Amino acid sequence: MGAAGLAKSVPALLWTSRDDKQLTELSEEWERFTGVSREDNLGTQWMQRIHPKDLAVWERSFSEAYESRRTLSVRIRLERHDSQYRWMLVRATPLTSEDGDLTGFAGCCIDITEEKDLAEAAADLSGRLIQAQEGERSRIARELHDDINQRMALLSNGIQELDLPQVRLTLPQRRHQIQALKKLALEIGADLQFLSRQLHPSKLQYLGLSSAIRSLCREVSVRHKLDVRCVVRDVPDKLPEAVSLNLFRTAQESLQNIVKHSRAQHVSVELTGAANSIFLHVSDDGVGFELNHENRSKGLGLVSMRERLHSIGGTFSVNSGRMAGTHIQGTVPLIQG
Amino acid sequence: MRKKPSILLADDNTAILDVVSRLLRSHQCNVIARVNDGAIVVKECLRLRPEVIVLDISMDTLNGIDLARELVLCGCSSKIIFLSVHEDSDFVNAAMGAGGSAYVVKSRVATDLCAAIDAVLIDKRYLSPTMLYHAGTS
Repeated sequence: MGAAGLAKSVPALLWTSRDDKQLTELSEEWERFTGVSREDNLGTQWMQRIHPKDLAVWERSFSEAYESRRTLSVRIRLERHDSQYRWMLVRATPLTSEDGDLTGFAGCCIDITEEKDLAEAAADLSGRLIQAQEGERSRIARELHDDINQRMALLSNGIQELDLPQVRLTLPQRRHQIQALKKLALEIGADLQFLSRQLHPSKLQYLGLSSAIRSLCREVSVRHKLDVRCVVRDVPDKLPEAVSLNLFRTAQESLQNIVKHSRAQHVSVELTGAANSIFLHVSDDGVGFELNHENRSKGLGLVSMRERLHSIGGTFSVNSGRMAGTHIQGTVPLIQG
Repeated sequence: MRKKPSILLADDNTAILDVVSRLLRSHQCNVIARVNDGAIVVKECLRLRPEVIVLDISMDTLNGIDLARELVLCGCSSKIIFLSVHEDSDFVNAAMGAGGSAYVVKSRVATDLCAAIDAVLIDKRYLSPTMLYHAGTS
């Protein structure tokens, strides 16, 4: 394929300009992109397609490249034939005559909208994950400080009181005080355990994934009066920590979503082991939701579940529809070690 | 008067070890060893062959339930009493299933541990009364 053929078929808008910044030659791709003939884009006509907010950036960058005779590199939005603005990466190199005078530029524009969207989604996601994590930390800090700390102070004051010479307690009063302090200490212990369980489920570590998932289902079922059917089959006792933690969190997050949004009555959680993978399926008979761009990017829960399973080489999928319930499936490979 | 039973204590928290040893000594027990390193529990138990092992479920990263299984596999005939902060029947089931004879929650050590020792010495099981044990319903 000759240079002309190449210029014809690459999916980039190729162009050359004269030293007066007018575009003089355009590749065929311009017609496909803009939907009008190449002639209608020549000169400065194509600039009507630049997003109004990017016009100044374009003019400044182009002029600077001209004056300094350096490579031009800039990102601007260009209107496509369907009136959609696409992000384009514009790159161009200066052309010079044999005497070394600048005669123009040869450049190309490449559509980078999808890459830009992905990068923005990733940045947005990590921003929201950090925010969520900070929110959780501050909630726990608040509980530790406002609740546990206050009651610890109460406890130690109560003990000191028993020891103060000026406080004269009768024997029954003393006994009563000791009983109250004992009760307080036990309550603090139980609440600390609850708090620590929220941070990391100790069952996962000591009793394994199967037991932790069963217990999670039972807890959700009792607390939210929901029929949760839990089936665990052929799951190995010992799993890599990352596998059991991420599968557990995925099940937990799914159940939380069901409780919060689904209005479901019946939920099924299945965890099945196969020769070299583990399969998790959580489904409900609730109101479901439309999977669209909006909740795909906003639903932090879905994204974080997907990220979790991807991080251990697994796959994640969600199926739902209005009044069709929600089905979440995850598969994680097990590497035989 | 009965012969003083020999007891091995395994817990990585020395404050708990102190409280428990004091308690058991006053209960006419012979604390023959205190182990605060989970990694050597099995070796010490096999070497000393105590009548009773009081074993913490969570020692650093080591899992007391796994240790108990290992002890049983090694043919250790000592009675195992679990000490635990987990007031949860799943833990009780797993611990008893792994070869434990008793399960005492740490918040009730002062009231329950001596009763647990007395029970396991006559081949009975013991659970802190706050715990429910439904065998086989985990």
